[in-house]
Amino acid sequence: MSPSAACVITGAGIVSPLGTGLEANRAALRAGAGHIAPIQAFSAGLAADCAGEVTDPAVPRGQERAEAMARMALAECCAQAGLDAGSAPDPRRALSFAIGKATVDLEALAAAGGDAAARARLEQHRAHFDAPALLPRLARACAAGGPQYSSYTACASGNDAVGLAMRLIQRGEADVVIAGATDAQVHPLSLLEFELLSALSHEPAARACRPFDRNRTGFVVGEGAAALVVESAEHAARRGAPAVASLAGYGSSLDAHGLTKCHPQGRGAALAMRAALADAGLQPRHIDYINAHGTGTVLNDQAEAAAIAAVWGDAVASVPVSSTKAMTGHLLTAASAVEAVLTALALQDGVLPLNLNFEQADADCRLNIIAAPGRRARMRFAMSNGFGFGGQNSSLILAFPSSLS
Amino acid sequence: MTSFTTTPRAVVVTGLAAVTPAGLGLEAYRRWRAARPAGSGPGATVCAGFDPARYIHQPRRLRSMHRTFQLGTAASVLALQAAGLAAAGALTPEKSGIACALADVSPFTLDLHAVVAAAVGADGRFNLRHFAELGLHQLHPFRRLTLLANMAAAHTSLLLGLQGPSYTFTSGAAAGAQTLQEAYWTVASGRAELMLCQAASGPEQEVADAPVAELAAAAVLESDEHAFRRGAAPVATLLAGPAAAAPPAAAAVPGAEAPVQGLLAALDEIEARGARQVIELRPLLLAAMERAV
Repeated sequence: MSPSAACVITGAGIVSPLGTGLEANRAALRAGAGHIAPIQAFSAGLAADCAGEVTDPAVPRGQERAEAMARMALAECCAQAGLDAGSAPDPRRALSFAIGKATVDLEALAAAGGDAAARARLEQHRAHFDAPALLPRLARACAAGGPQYSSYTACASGNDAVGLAMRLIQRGEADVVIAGATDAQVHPLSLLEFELLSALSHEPAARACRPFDRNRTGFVVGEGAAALVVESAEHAARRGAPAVASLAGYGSSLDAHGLTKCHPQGRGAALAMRAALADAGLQPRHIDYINAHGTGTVLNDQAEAAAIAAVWGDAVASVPVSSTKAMTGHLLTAASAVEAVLTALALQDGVLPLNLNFEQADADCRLNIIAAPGRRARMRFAMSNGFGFGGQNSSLILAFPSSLS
Repeated sequence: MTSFTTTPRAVVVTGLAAVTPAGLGLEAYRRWRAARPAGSGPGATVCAGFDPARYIHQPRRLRSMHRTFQLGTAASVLALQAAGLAAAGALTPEKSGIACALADVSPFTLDLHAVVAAAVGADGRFNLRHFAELGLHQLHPFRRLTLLANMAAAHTSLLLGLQGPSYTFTSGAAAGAQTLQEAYWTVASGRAELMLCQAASGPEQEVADAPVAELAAAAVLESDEHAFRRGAAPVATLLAGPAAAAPPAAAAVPGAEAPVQGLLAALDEIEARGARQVIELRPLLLAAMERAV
């Protein structure tokens, strides 16, 4: 591997159901406590009545919620990386950000009734928070004057935004890329749409999300944002910025199997994991931890377990696996960006994140699930998976900073 | 980690396609664009004679696709035909991927309007619980899926069996050029043998009844080695050019047609250069972004 191609993360920012900021998330991750609770924002009377809500009062309700969380994550990652977010736009600083679909103001829509002009105003207002309109505002918020990318690959989006950042650095198209994702789908219409797909858990909050457990019943919607400062190791060293973690590999693939159902043997997921390993120049045995996509739905967890087993073969029992969604809920567009930050924290701290609510092993998910909190491990490389509707798959490999040699 | 300090593989364009209200192909696109009344409206917006069933031979799949996704997938089929890759088994699934550009699909659907209206009580107030109850029965079960931008790639991959890398850009006017850029680098770095670039716009993207033209564009990019092996005649060869020539800030200009206009502009430029030209990617993308705005 050429040292000039090594990508490091020099700053991270996060707003999640676990808390606002890196230290709050670090503490919650170490404690292994769940942050899924009955929904506070509204009561729609749906069977799925809990979520991974961001409870920080500084985050406003309404359509500006996703933007506000993104801005907080951007500010934190820039500060940690020693970048001046308030400076003039830097043409060598790019932005690669995945933005969840803006929500609909249902009450305002009801008030508009059949008034076409009022409906038009609502549509235009909503579009103000969708990716093409929001992206330049986020770029200004972190002084990114270089190219701006918004990619959307459903629940794989966060990994793909970070993976693209890695590619831009490797190609020399930017000195620094700020990458991440934001989504605020704890909203009645979003929950309704997932209910229509029979994807949500109807269990009480504390046990609602149980990835890889034999009695899992579905996922829980969450919300949040994360941002990472990605640059070449050389560039970071030149400006004296210490690395939080390194980015070692990235892989993307499609299932080509179904719109909602993933391939039962995890064909596409295995392709993405193998592509990330090849990109990193690693073998499966080098991976010390997998942060699984692990939504808690019966079929998705089964397919991911099959994919991990296919890639790791006989060594599957040796790699510890957990899904942090049991603690946070499924943050959808933002999921894998947030999980990349949580994985980086796990690497730094040497503590394997707990797979909360894992009580009974599933014969169809024969994985080494991390069922006890506080397990310490010396980790060099960790993989974080993100899979989405439409058969989108992406895997990212993060490394403890000194491991890329 | 794959390093880009090594020389990237040569990448060729072997198939181009456009679907426009003025007909198929980039010549039709130029006619349509020239006829569009400047500043006074969108001109012809509907591909009236276009029947996607001619290109998508799976009736059930076709019915589950928005018109926008039908147009995009049909354009990809046309581009593969132009590249001589239409036959079953012509693609290696794991080595073939797709990069799409798409604008937002409006969530303000007729069924949503109906359910919201029905949830307003006699007192004129919106009742969220009643809305949720009605929605469970009256909203389309796959509503969520129809609104996701990456469904364009999903539908096309299902039809064509693509299992390689997949990206969907929603960065407005820059998105079309970004599909070409990432498809180029995915092939150049050896992560895929072939990448489809695809963009489309259609009626589902209309915001507040502002008509959106039905447009679609697609291109086939492959390694020159892959094209040579199968005896394909490249339309053009793409070269990355120096990183210093990277396009400057490409602000994400909103607009439902912007992503497809960006890709169409780039493909138009490729075709206009004439057969078998060597084209530097970065200036091409910059010009495409400028034309798309």
